[in-house]
Amino acid sequence: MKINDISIRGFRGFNEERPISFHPLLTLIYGPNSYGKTSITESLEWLLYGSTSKVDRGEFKDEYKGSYRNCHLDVDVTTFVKANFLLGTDQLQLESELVGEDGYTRRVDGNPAESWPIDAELAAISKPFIMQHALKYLLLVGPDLRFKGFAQLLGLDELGALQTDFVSICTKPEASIPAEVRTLCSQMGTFENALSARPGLSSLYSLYKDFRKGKESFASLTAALFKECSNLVPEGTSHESVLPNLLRIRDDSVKKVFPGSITLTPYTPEDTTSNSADLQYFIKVVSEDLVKQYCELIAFQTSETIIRHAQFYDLGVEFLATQPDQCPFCGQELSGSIIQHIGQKHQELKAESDHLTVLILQRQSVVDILSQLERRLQACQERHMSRLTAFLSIDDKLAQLGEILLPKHKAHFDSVKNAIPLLQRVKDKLDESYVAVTKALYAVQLSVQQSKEDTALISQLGEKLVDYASTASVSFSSISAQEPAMSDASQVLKHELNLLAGTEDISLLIDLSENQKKIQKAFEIESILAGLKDLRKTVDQYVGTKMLDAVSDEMTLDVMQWYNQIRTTGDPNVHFSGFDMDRTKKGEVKSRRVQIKASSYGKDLVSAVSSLSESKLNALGLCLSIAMNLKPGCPFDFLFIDDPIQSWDAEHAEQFIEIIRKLIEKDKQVVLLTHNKNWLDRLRTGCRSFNGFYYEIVSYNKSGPNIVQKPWCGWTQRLQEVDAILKDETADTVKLQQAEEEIRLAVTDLTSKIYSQKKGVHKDANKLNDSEVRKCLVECGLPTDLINRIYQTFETTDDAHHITDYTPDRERIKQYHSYVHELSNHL
Amino acid sequence: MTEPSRLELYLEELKTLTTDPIHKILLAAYTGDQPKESVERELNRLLIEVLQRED
Repeated sequence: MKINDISIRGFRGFNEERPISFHPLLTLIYGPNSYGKTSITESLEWLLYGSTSKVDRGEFKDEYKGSYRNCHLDVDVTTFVKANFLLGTDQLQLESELVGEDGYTRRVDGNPAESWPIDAELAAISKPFIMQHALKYLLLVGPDLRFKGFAQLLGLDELGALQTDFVSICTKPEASIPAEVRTLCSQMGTFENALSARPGLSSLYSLYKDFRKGKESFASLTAALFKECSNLVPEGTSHESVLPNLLRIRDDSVKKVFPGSITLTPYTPEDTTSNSADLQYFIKVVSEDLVKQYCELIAFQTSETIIRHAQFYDLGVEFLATQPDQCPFCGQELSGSIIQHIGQKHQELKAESDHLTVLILQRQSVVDILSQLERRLQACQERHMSRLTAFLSIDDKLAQLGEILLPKHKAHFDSVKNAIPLLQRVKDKLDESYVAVTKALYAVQLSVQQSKEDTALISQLGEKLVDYASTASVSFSSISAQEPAMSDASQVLKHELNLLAGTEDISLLIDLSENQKKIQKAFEIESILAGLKDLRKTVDQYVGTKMLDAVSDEMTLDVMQWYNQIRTTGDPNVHFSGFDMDRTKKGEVKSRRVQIKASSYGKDLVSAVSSLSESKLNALGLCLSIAMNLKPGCPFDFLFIDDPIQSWDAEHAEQFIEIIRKLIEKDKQVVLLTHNKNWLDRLRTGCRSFNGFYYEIVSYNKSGPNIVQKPWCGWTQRLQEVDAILKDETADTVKLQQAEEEIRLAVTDLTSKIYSQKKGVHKDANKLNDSEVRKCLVECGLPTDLINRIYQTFETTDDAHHITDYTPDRERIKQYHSYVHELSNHL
Repeated sequence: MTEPSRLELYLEELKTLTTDPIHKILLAAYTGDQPKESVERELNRLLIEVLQRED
């Protein structure tokens, strides 16, 4: 992909719209400092990427706010950058208009677009810009930033991100550890501490530590634990009875010191779920539907009379079936109207009776709902009340508890003491509310049973249920709030009681035995978490090795190739010697440590970056940028180079001209911007045969830079070059071809100048072809014979330019040379 | 069948470098728009699984 031209308006140093055309091979732009050179490069970078490196790298983004828009641009004028590219033979126009401070809208070939058709390529490769100091910053930044920068350059940024993520996950896994897992793991530590404090259990302690380190199996630990437990119960106690025996021994001893306990059982997750479901049920059960069903049962009272009537009429119908016209009781004849009356009444009562069946089902449904409500109320009440009752039993032993806990554990004692009246109030209220709701429920149940339904009863039940749900909710919150403090106090009490009763070892052995499964799980979890270090190491080594492969061979060779190009024979032998990865003492690759190696007269330097001179670092940064831009797969065939030789001496600057030539030979379209005019003149001479475009920014004001295109090279220089080639007996075909090309360019240059002199009209020499040259010279009144001969020069010079099997002819070139000299006499 | 992405290739290579099944699972979880969060969720799930396992 090459770039044809760019138009910039209102961007950075540009105010009024300025178009710049680029030569397919080489375009040089000269401008003193602050004349807007860098704005040209930045405008293209912004067009392609939506931002510039300068802004992206800026530490304080606020300072760059609004910096894309030129400050002198009229408020109603928009900032835009538009460029035409060549993709093979296809044209592609990209245009971006600035929106707000850093937004934009885009157009592709004049049509609005969300993204560029080349976005995928843009993301994958180095930017086609070598800015001032190029990638020198990458050499000077800290290891981590350097790694990121190199990963990006080499298209390995996903690998860098992968490594960063796994380091974070493996070294700080806290975010992934659920609270209950953390609690479990902390218990392991608690057991270990408790064991360390019991000299009588030292061998078990040692085994426990080895188990946690993975040196001992879980089976060894449980066997040793059982052995310790067996030692404390009477000989001959069966395996299953060891733990119950230990519990009995401990409880008996402890109860002698203090017969109570601080027990406020925490709600299990299942309790919490049931509680929440119950409260919702209580509030919703007295629904409109239930009230409707209940009220409809009132109809039952009348229905019972109907049932009796229906039975009577059923009997009548049955008699009528056997003796249809005679009364079954007295034998009297029945009139037709009476028979009809009985039949009709029977039908009506049959319909009523069917309705009654529905009511019976409805009644059963109401009875079932009320029974279920009763059961759930009982379960809910039991859930809270059992906890409150168990805890409040400590109340009458408070004085004795104080003797054990005070003064050492005053805070724990106070928390228990304060919790008692609070939870007592909760219990009383819950009791009261439960009595009220069960009473209301019983009244409703009784009314159904006795077919004395009453809407007042069902609404009262609704009110009581809402009240109970609220009270139960408060109980749940209060118990949950007090539970952690009571649990702590209970642990302290347990410890003190074990101390007083001399049951510390037994108690610890019981705890360990009861928590064996938890210990096993905690160990497994600890192993998983400890294993994350190995995972991190695996990822580190993998990423480090990948990066080493990427930087050490191909990249080093690529960069070295360009670096050697800049080296001069007079250079002190202190040089860049390649890229590597830093290593540990064991020789393992450090994943995020890209190393810049250098040597001084063959000896490796310890700190390469600090040992290389500033100019060598600049050169190395430049070579790194060039190497990256020449990597296979790069879609850009153009490269913008902005002030590359700052702080370089003349000899090294001269070497860089050869690099430009080599880049062009490698099919790169080069756009070079510099403030160094002398060097640019030498560059133009050195690259005369490319006949590129040369621009000078001659002035700068509020309207922006004044960019003027100047001739690449004068006709006198070109004829001198032809002369030199002809005198060189060793000049090969390539050189002779160049001589023919120089002749053609000298002709167009001279024609343009003669036309301008004689006609006062400027003709762009770069756009003149053979027939236009003839036409111009005819208009200027030059001799026909000379015009024909000049025209003749194009026949072979065009061949020299386009035909591969072209054969040069020294004599012919000499003739052409003399024709051009003759033409110059008319100037 | 689409070609595996570069990231998928890295992860496949990494999986061959570890024998720990947990590590293989965590590497396999590195997918989606938020791969780090995905691995963290997987680790969380594995730990809960151990905790809640019926023996």
